[in-house]
Amino acid sequence: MTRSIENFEPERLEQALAARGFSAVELAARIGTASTTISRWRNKAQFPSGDMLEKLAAELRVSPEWLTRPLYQGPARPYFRGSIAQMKADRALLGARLHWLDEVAQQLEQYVDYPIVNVPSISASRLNEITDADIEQAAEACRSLWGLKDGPVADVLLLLENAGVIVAREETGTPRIEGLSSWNRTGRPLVLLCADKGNAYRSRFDAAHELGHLVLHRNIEAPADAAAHKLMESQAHRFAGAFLLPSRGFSAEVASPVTLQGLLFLKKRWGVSVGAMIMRLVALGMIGDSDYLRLIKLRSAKWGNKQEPNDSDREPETPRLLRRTVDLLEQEGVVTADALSSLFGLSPRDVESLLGLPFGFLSLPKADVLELVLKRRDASLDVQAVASLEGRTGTVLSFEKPRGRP
Amino acid sequence: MEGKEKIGKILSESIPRELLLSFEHFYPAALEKAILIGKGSDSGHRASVVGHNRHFALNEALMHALDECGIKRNPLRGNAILVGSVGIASVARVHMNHGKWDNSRRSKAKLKLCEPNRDVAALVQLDWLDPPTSDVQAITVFLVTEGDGTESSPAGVYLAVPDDNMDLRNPVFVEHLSIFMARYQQSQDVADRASPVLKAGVKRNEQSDQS
Repeated sequence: MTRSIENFEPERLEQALAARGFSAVELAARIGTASTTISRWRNKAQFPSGDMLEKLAAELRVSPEWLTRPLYQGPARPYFRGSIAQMKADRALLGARLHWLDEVAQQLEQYVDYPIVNVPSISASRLNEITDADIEQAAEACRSLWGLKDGPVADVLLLLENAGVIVAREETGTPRIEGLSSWNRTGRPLVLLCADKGNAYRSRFDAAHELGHLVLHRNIEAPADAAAHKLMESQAHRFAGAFLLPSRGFSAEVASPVTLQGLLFLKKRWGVSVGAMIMRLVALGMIGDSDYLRLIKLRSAKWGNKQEPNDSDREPETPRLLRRTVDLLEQEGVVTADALSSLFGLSPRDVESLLGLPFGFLSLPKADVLELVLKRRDASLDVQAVASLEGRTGTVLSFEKPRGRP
Repeated sequence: MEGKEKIGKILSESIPRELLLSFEHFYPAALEKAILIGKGSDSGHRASVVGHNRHFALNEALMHALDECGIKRNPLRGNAILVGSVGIASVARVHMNHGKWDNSRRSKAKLKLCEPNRDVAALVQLDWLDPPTSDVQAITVFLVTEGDGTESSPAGVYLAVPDDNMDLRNPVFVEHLSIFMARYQQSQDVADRASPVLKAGVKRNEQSDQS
């Protein structure tokens, strides 16, 4: 019988269960134990044995040692982009992954300095203190702080990373939640974007929406009730519109009367979907209720609600700061890429995904490198090949023209 | 850079964005006013009444826009063409019906106004024997309101630069106002500063060198 692991950290187990979307019953079945045992581990009433720890780790795709690490104090409760009614499990999964992102970024920060945090925030401590005018002003102040004029933003993620935000964009299997964000304990903002929809226009808006939460709601806790969540979401939405489509620059380019074709032209230029532009025009008071209804109805009738023309003509923006950190550490011989997985205690695939490394960079076995030796060509082989054809004749086959055809 | 792009650049560098925004603000009311006056007229000459009044109302709209931006102009007087001068650009206006633009060469004054466009036309209509001058000294641009004088089809505004023959059928440069506006604010490239810096004191892992 093996000894029980007394420094087992139940909170780590909780986190891994959430990140993998496993229930305790499912995990128990996978590792061949009773669900009550899992409950006792979670309550610290009992500790897993060494064997069980290995099995747990293998199923949860973490290292056994990771399950014994003291719990890292993760970021504040995140703001989720999406309805609060979304499945609790989805939110727990994304919350756990944001926690991992924070922890991984913090571990790398032992070796490097990230760009200094330069994200403004307003001082409001209650949601209903924030007016539409405050939001417009906050978006304008943010653009001005980052040196943007009135034109379109070329790369939203680059702007965020320039301002010291840790960004990850990964496929999470939870397409109903587009992203989440939070401030960590050291005052660094984090943004996790869900890449499942693969739409560059939506992803840019999602990033700007998360920026809205960081700027507007830093001093406000993520609400638990649906009404407050809805208000918070609408504020972040308005911020995203104001940040990507500033009133001064954008409104001058909108032709009157507003048509879908005109907005499609602007979509390409401003990198914002037609749907989001229609909402912005409403927010700016440039179209009334009847025009809004006309455009929305026409848009749905022509394109449906899920997609628009030209959705695929722009590649989604990708984060680069963490990937560059890995490159730098490897280049300087501080950490090798192969050691990252054990450093973080996570699976190679998780590390690739959180750090924005190419798929297979860590998770696929390295191909064997064969050394090719240049050999001098043997001229006598050519002579033999020609000689072998000599004396042979070919047969010419004739094809008859099919009848009844011209 | 293509000739058309060069002309667009010259225009956007000479004409303040605010002038176009002001004109865009004033012209719909001017057209509406002309239509309203026409409504009280007999149908036999209503189109002429609307057209006549549109000329005055649009001239007033351009005058207000120029004044709002402090741009020098000639006095508003009868049928005279109102011209604003800003930088190397002369800004005037003209109204056209939907469809192919025509009827533009009737005005001697407009023809005279377009004479300096010879240089700018050469940027588009290349002549191997007479290469274009690199330095355009003057350019005349028209704010063309396009509409049929009815309420049912709202008018659009274009910036058009005709050649020195005032050929608006084949302008050397024409762009809808909303598209032209994009020339004032190009998509801004973001400086890439998203790079980590190795902390002082972090040392190379000698083992990793050996591997």
